[in-house]
Amino acid sequence: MIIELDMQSEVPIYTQLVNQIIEGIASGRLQLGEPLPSVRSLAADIGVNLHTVNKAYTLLKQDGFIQVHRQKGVVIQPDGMPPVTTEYSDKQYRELKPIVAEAICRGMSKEELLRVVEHIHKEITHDRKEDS
Amino acid sequence: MQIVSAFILILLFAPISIMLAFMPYLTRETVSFGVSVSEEHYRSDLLRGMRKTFASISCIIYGILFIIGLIGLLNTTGELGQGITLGVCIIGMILVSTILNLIFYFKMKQLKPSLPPGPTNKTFIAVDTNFRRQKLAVSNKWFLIHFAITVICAIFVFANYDRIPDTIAMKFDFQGNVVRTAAKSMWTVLFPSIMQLIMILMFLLINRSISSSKQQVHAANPEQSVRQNIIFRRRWSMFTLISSFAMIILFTLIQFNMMYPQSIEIIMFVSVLIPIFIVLFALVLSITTGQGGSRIGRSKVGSPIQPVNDDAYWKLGVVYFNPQDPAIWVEKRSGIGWTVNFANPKGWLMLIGIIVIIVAVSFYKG
Repeated sequence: MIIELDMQSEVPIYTQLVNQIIEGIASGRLQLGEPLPSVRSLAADIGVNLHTVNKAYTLLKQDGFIQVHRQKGVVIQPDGMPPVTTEYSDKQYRELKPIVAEAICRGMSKEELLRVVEHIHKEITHDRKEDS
Repeated sequence: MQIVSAFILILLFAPISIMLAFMPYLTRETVSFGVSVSEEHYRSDLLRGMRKTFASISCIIYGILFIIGLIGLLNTTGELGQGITLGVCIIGMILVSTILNLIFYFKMKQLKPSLPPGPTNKTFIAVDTNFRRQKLAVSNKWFLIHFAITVICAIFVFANYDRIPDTIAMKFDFQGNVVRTAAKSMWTVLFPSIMQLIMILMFLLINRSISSSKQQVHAANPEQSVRQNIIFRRRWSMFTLISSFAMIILFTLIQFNMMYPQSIEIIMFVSVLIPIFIVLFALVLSITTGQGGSRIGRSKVGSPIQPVNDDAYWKLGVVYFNPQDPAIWVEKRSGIGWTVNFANPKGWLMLIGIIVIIVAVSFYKG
């Protein structure tokens, strides 16, 4: 999968990396069990500090999206993705709230907002159908 | 025999001049004279004109140097005179190319702010997570062939030590006369083997650096750019394998010549032919492939997307110094091939190691 990083964005590189990898899994461009580059080689290829990539991988590992083996290296979690937990629901709720609030302030209707969510969902899962 | 040295001059000087003069055409299209630009700018009339000027000025100056060299070679006799003429030509070439590149680098740097901005000022870095799982270079195991030849020859020389004449011709001039001889010793006859081993190690290191150097994907067209980059690496790796094989064969021949002196014409012919073959091979590869594979299946229209501006890390457009980048080997900006990240101590160690080996070898030889 090709990861694209916006070097001028306010979003830190490690967050962009985490988001791109999760999006890759969701769209099917990254398959379960698929190897990812090592911290060292990914950092060198992007041209950033080792800690940046390490941080992204640690976060992904904590949430159960990837596994880090001593011999096999980094792979996308082969045993399936983590389920919806109460922890995740809470986090999602917290993160969505300001987005919804801003949309209301700006006068976006509920339908428009839902349409945006639907569009994004479709966009990500669209790739998946083409692959299989 | 002066004709022979003139012929050598033509066959070595011409391809190198061509490569130097047309280098701006062979770089990635996101770099113009060591300054990062968008593909659209690279293909604009303004920058096109600059490349043309660079190439024509280069061709004229190299042409003059070449004629001076030819006249010099045809009018001097003896090894010293010809050596000096060749040396002057080579130093002149290096100087001219450095000065021209610097002039155009500063000109380009001045010009860059005045170029129209692209549709978005966002710059993306793209990386392929599969890249390192591809076959990027030929296997190092192929160098076992080189190694086997070296070892077999060394054993053969060792076993037939008695048959080797007591004085060995070490150096010839362009006319084919022996200039320097050495008394037979284990060291003298096995010296080519030692050189071969050192060369194999160097070529192994080069092959490794080809596969391990930093991935460089063009964000505007990542899939194609990944494909180009893989082909680029494989071709140069193949070049390394083949040209190193040719060098090993050359040294084997020199070693055999110590035991069974051949006609000097054959030795001269082969020892001139192999470097010429390597230079021509490199020229053809550079022109057909371009830096990073940029000339393989070029798109019709240049993308307006700005590449990541890392000009600050490229001192004078040629020396890469980026302390934040953990990469050791990176693609060169001007020219074809790879260079070292000078901010990385490992890069320094490797360069110093190579220089020490070369100096040590030439010291022992002399």
